Amino acid sequence: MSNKEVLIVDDEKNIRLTLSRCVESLDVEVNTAVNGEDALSKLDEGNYNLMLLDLKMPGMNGMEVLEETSKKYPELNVIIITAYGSIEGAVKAMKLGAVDFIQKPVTPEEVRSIIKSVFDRAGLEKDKLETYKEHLEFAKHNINKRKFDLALTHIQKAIGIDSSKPEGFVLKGNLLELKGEDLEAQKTYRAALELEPTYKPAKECLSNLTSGFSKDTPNKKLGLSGDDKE
Amino acid sequence: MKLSIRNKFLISFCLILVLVLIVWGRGIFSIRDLGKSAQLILKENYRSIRAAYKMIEIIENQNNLLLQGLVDYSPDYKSSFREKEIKFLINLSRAEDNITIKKENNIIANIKSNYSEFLGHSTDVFSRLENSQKAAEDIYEGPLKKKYKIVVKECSQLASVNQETMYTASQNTQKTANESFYTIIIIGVIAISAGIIISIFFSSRLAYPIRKLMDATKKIGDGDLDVDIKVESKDELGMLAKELQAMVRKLKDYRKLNVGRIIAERKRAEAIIQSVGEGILVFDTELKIVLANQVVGEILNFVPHEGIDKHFFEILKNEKIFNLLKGAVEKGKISPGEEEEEKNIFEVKSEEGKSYFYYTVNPVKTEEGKIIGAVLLFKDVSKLKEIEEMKSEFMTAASHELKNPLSSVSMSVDLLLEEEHGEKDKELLLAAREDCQRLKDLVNDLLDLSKLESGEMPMELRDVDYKRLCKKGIDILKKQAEENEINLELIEEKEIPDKVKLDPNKITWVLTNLIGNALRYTDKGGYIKVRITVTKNRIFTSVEDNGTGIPYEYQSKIFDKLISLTDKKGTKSGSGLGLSITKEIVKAHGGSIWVDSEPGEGSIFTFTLPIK
Repeated sequence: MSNKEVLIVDDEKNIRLTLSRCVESLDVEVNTAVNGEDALSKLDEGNYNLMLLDLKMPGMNGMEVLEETSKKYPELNVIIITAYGSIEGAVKAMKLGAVDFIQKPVTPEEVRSIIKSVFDRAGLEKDKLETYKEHLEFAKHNINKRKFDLALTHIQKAIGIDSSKPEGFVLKGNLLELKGEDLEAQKTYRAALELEPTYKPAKECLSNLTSGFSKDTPNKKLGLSGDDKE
Repeated sequence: MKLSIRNKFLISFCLILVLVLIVWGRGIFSIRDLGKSAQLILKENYRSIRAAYKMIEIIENQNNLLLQGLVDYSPDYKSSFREKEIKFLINLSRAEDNITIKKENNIIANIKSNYSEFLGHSTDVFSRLENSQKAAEDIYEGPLKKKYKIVVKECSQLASVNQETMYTASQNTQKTANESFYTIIIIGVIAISAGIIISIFFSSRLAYPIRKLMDATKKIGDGDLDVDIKVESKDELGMLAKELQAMVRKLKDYRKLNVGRIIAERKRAEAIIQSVGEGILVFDTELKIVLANQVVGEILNFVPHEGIDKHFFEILKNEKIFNLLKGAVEKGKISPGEEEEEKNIFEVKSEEGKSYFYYTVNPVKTEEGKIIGAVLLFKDVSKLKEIEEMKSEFMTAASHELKNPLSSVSMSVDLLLEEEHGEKDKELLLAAREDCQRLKDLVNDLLDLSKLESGEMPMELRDVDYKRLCKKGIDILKKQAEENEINLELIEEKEIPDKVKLDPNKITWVLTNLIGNALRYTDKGGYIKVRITVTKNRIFTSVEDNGTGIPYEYQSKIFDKLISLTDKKGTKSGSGLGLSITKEIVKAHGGSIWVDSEPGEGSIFTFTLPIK
């Protein structure tokens, strides 16, 4: 895994340190940035393959950085780090090509495995996909490339191979949300929870969607009833 | 003069009776009078006339005897003459007995004297006849004939006098009869008129006050207590009127007193309602506003007294509150009910920001339990809500802030543990890792709890097969139980409905949390029984173990925050928030949770869920 360059962006010094140590063992070059502006200038200077990006930072926040980088460096893979339980911007981040999340507090193993899978999925070939994992990773790879329809197809394939794992359903739900199919997305999240009632990402996505949905609904209803009257 | 109705009747009837008597008396009197006078005429005068005519007849006979004697005398004549003389005298005396007229006296006296002279002369005639016829003729032709003519004349006079009297008497009778006829008619007419007048007078005098009383009572009945009953008579009716007037006066006073008291009470009640710091809206059964105070006017932005009689929706377009009010008015429902808590929050957005009001809905009942309306009460909980939000925000922020250092600590420990260390160092690092995990759990639980409490984590209720849910929950921990050699089983009593409205994720969490707790406090070889009982409107789910149990002093606080007990290994484990979260979730479902425990024997945690 040599000649890979990783940029870690976090405003917390100790997080930067521990994450760096954790990634170093993967035999990659690690650099750090203290905030969004710093990250953008570092990206200008080097040639990075992967960025670990904290969402909550003073000044320019993670999502703003992501918006910039997705335009400037479409090839750059981004893993989002968040301290919040709920990934409120999951769908937005996905739109910008980011599909991987690390939730603090995190173990070194988790960090390494996610970085590994991000690097590995680039080597996947469309015709040689066999396992659930491979299809899912290929789907994520396509999300990174903003090829959402292709991603959805492979998620369906992954689910077709193994319909007992919730992760695929959540990802499918996110993609459906991205397409504006909120009701379908809800059903998909519920299916994930049926499989594993304690699966957190599904819970969070569903509660984000339903609370957001319930906020919109009354207005829509009012609008409709107004039309009816006229 | 005090005259009772009875006496009035008696008097009027007596008056009429008297009139009748007068008419009657007069009639009888007249009839008797008439009869009397007729009788007299017939009897006395008729006798006199007959006597007179007899006397004429007799004296003519005597005269004829004398004339015959003059022609050829015979002593028989003389005796016959004497017989006739007696007859004459009898008739004369009869006439004399029947003197009815003054004139008769003279006439009879004349007859008497002249007849006696006639008799004297006739005696002379008879005596001379024996001697000389010439002398007798002289006497006869001289004084006797003269006397004879006088007597005849007088007798005819007597007859005519009596005839005249008879005539006048009959005339008089006629007259009297006529008079009586008219008098009776007149008196009768007068009596009838008087009777009619008296009857009308008395009846009207009697009926008039009765009609007045009737009108007055009708008015009183209609609620008009200002009637003046003017009955001036002093009889029973007058007294009745007086009593009625007195009654009306008392009634009026009573009403005035009562109205005054009611007004005073109403004013007091209104003042209380106005001065209460909470918003009060009172509705009738049609949900029209009966009462509103200033505070509620400020909350809902309307002028309280202008809102009276307006419908709920004219003031507030809130369907939830409307339904609660409807429930209160129609079924006497109270909101919030016993098991709901602080769900009734009404939010008002204004320029100064958001305000929050906790509201309750209560039916208004009479003493007999009849529902006559509903009360909607608003209590300003903006401050509380603010504090709660601040607390929740603080908890969230603090938890997140904790996550960064926790993350670096745990990562450092994990990274260190990847390298080789001496036994002692490793022990320390493992201790650090274990407590890092505890801290992570605590932070996550705190976040969940604050979300639950602030309502950020809404219940997503849908129909769920409850039995399947429980089986899944048990499956999650089955392996862990087997590792600890604890028998974990599901016991269902009665049939479990396959459609229960609940949030499956959260109830699964509740169930696994309770089983997880039981696992921690149960020794090897113990048992955990999840028992489901169904009643008419509730599902009871209990998690029973034969573990260490809960000391009595902790049983009441077990659901409070940050209470955790030492487990079977003698260490404290868990965040101490699990049961608080469990309670919040069960409460949000409209259920309740409690514990029965005997220290050393085991515990039974039971929670209920409503079935609709």
